Amino acid sequence: MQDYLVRRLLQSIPLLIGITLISFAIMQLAPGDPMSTMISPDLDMEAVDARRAELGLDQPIYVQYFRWLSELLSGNMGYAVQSGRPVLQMIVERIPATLLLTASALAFAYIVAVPLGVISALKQHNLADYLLTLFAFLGISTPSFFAGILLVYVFAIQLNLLPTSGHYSIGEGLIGFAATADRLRYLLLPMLALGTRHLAQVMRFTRSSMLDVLNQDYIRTARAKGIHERVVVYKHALRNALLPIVTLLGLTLPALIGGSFIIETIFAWPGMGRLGVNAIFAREYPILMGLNVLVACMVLMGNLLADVMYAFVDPRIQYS
Amino acid sequence: MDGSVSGGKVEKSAIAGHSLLQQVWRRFRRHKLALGGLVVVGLFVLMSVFAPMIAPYNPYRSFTRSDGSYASWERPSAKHWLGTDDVGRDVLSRLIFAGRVSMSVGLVAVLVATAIGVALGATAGFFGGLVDNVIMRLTDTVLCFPVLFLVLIVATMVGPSIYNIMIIIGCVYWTRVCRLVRAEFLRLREMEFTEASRALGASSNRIIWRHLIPNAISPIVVFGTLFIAEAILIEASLSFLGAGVQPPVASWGNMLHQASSFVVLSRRPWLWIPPGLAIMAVVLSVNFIGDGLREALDPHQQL
Amino acid sequence: MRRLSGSKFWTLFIAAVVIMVSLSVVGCQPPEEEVEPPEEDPDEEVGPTEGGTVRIAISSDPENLNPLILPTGVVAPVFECLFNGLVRDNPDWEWVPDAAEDWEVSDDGRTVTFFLHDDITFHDGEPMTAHDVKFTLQSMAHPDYIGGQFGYVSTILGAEEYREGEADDVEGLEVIDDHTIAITTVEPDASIFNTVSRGIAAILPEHILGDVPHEEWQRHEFNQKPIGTGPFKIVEREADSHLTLEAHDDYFKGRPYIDRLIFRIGDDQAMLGAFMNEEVDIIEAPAEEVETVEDLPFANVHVHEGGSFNYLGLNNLHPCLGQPEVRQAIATALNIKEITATATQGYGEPIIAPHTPSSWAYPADCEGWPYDPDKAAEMLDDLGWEVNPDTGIREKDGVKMSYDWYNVDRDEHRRIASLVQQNLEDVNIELDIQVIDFATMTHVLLPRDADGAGVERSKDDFGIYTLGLTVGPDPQGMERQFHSRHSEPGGHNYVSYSNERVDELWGEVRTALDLDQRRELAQELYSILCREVPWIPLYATTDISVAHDRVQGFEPNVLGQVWNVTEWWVDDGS
Repeated sequence: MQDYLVRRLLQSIPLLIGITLISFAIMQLAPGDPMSTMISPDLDMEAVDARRAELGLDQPIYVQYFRWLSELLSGNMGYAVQSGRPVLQMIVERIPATLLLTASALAFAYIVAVPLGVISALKQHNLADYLLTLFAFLGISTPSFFAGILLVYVFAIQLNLLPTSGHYSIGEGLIGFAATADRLRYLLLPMLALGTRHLAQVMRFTRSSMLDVLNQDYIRTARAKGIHERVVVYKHALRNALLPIVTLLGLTLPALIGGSFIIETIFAWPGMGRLGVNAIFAREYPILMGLNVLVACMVLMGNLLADVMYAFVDPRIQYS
Repeated sequence: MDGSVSGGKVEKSAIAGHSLLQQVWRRFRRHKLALGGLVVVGLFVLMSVFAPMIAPYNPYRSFTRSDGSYASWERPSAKHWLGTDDVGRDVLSRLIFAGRVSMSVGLVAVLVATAIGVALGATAGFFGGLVDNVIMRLTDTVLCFPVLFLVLIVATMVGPSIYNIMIIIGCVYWTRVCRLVRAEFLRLREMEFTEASRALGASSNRIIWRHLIPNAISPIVVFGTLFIAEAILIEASLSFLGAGVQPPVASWGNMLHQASSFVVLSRRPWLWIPPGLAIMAVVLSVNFIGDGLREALDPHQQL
Repeated sequence: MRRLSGSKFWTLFIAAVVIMVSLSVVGCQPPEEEVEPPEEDPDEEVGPTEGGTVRIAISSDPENLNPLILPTGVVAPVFECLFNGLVRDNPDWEWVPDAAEDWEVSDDGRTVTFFLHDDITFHDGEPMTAHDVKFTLQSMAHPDYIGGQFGYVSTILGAEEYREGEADDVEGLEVIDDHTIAITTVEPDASIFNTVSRGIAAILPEHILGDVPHEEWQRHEFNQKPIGTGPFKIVEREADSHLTLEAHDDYFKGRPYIDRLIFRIGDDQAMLGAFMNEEVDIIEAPAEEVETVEDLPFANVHVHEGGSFNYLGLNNLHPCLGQPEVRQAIATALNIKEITATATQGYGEPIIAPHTPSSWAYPADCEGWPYDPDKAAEMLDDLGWEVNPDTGIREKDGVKMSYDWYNVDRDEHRRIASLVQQNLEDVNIELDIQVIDFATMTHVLLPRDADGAGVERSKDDFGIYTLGLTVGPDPQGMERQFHSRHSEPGGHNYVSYSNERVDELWGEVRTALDLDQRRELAQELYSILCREVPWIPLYATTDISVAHDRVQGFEPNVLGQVWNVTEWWVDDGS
């Protein structure tokens, strides 16, 4: 097991290098550098050029890359071009909001989807199955921005049940339970908007995984041996069906974070997604590179964790 | 169960390819939703192909009122079945032409993604060793990124024209095909018929093209189908963030994007309900078709 | 979302408003009447009461709140609350007292002596003196200063020498006593008032920044929670969420009525939703949403001049745009009245010269190019641009009349694009529309090589582009756009327009001090621009501010929403 862990960690090293390379290379595609958004008829070009030199934007590309990489290794992601703030700090102060949103959407998706998927599989070709399937397909085929807009319009503006945007009641000075309840109210809509699509996917996945397992020989054997259906389903089938779902996490995580770019914009949620979208249009390369690296590393760690968990729970995996 | 079945099956099909297709079709036909999906998608494809003949008006032309002003935001009427948009263009005509754009974005993106994915996946799976290692590490690396963000960055930077968007989506989303094809190749490589061909002195090229690709085709087809739906949604999301297909060219994505304005959402439903329904109908149908194909092509997964 | 880049765009607009306000000679003297300090009016039925919170929506986070460092995000309204300059502008575009109670111009017109209020304190309780004013202005001329606004103080006597390191002090900045400062310029310079206004040189505390080396300014924590003298002080901020400001009790013009001001940060549509749900009190609404907010029982809609205009820039180097006659024909082919009405939902005012119509410089006697497609076609035929029957596009000497046309991705500009394209199609001109974001646009307009150095403009850079521009009442700021000197690499004459008489007139306007004379010169200048159409002006913009009716005293105008924030009060009575 320990060997396995070490090997997996070693395997991540080329990935990390790849991540920095891709993050950096993408930024070279663009015409114009971040200073170009700052050019207005009222600024001295001299000052703009000075800033450009200060940021090293006048250096050859590979020099810029190694400079950036060595800074990165020492924990410095550089400074935002326009505001001059440390990129790492800008990202870090937004991580909690994004983490809260994606984690709750993820939890919501899995907690609701797995039981529904199991029901759908057990009641295959029943009305419940058809309804759930229909719901799942609807979820998969609705663009998430559209779902978000509809949620705001219906639940916040028309029904006045929940706030439209933000992440807590600013300036109300709520504390304790009231503060938590307040934050939950703000969390609900963006969580639904972000989580629904994944809910649908996880549900479909659970269903087919469950059906797969139910058709396996050992389940048939168990049934043939007259073991109680409930025990067959929950003790034998469900456990094995859930295993592959863990691997789905690796695919869901980057998709969820990608989705948060849209959802955070709609709900004025102060997370990394909005920072990223703003940074794109402002050509804030240091921020974009920092975000890409950080998010990719988070996903990498998530995958690593999933793999280790998988190895841990699945006795069939050999660590050698 | 363990590939030898499907391997043997396709070998047989080389002799009687016709009957295999018939078999697949027979199984596919049993999947009612998939069949329905096929009909819907077929209709949309026809609509797109014959758009210039079907569309009542030029989708880029604004109508004027009698006082000379542009007929913006007219309600649906006998003249304009789906009303007009913010600069007075006929929404129905735009919807029809937008279908061309959205569906070709989906299709071309899939072709690009599949081409890259198959090429890399096949290379990795067939040659194995260092080549495999390098390609798979690259795939893993790309998979770590939130792809929508990557697409958004690249689309904004190189300029969001239709062609750029098709290619960018394809270039970023090839990883899953790559993994799929590689896995399939690894499995097939060890199979008896491959060994046999190799023993008979067949070149790598011939083995790949004659034996491995045809055998790996079904998961690729299933994936490709499902990804068309995904790509259409990605284009819509890009439109929302301002980096999708740009007006005056209409796509379902940028038409639906208008719903993010409250006045359109609440008072001008003719602007967003039709493209919204079109997207959902096509995406849903394509998903059904993909599901049907999966079951038809993969008989041992008969559920 | 489309509004994101839009917001960036507006940020630049707003920054430009602040910066480009050029002054008129009228502004050189304080107006006769003092602005009334915000005092309770006993005649009013319900007088202003103290207390309460007002929440204002802004579209992006002003990460950096140091006015001397390149501004980011939406900063203007926040600066307005936090800082003072020596003077400020009023809704009639006159300079009125701010930190300076009064001022005196010397007979030779080169020295202005400002007399400061004697009871101004910074948010941290330290008194503000003439030394702080000198510190602020001198910082902008410091050799290590990288904020990019040296140009504003460059006319002050000795500023160049100080910048070059040849002097230890800026000679023209003389502190006479704690509350008096004299500023001397090299030549009589009316723009000095603009420089010392709160939009440019907001007064910064020397006791905090005095010891900070300039290399560290950009990254100093002061930029997050700056200390100013303004009516509000910043107490809390959360990135991309909000800024909380509290009333400055010792504000020298009297404490504002409201206790707290919260700037909520969010995308325009999100903030519109928040307003509809009564989560924010003040927003700026897109024109098409007016009918949405009008129906809300608590909403007060204010329509006011936006201070900017939209135009088409025509690349004068382009083979089919170089001739003024061709540009005139194109202008004639455009139905600007209806384009304006459709693009702005009826909230724009068509213009014929590149300036806002409320300015004294706007030409009164120019007719522009009234819409007449038949005449436009005839004009083009006469010029030898004839329709090729095979392609349906005009041609002359084998050159096709076809343009690359760049637009930024804002809704308004997309509408303009679609309509202008049709208008030109009608006269057989082909347009290839490119929609790009603002950053790419600046690259198109200011071509650079791989090393970032400006390069020579060419006919291939672009054919036409659409942009907006924010202007003040004085035309001086437009010199950079139309003087042939500025068509050099890196200059802002994007269209490479060149006309000797125009170049001459810019020089004359700059040195003329009498308003009548300036008006006459400016009108001549704009008449030429109107006739030669290096740009096709489209329309002047209108802004729509919407406030919750609990906010009293809210009077947005061309200066923006918060210019009179000290007079606001909250009525939560009923």
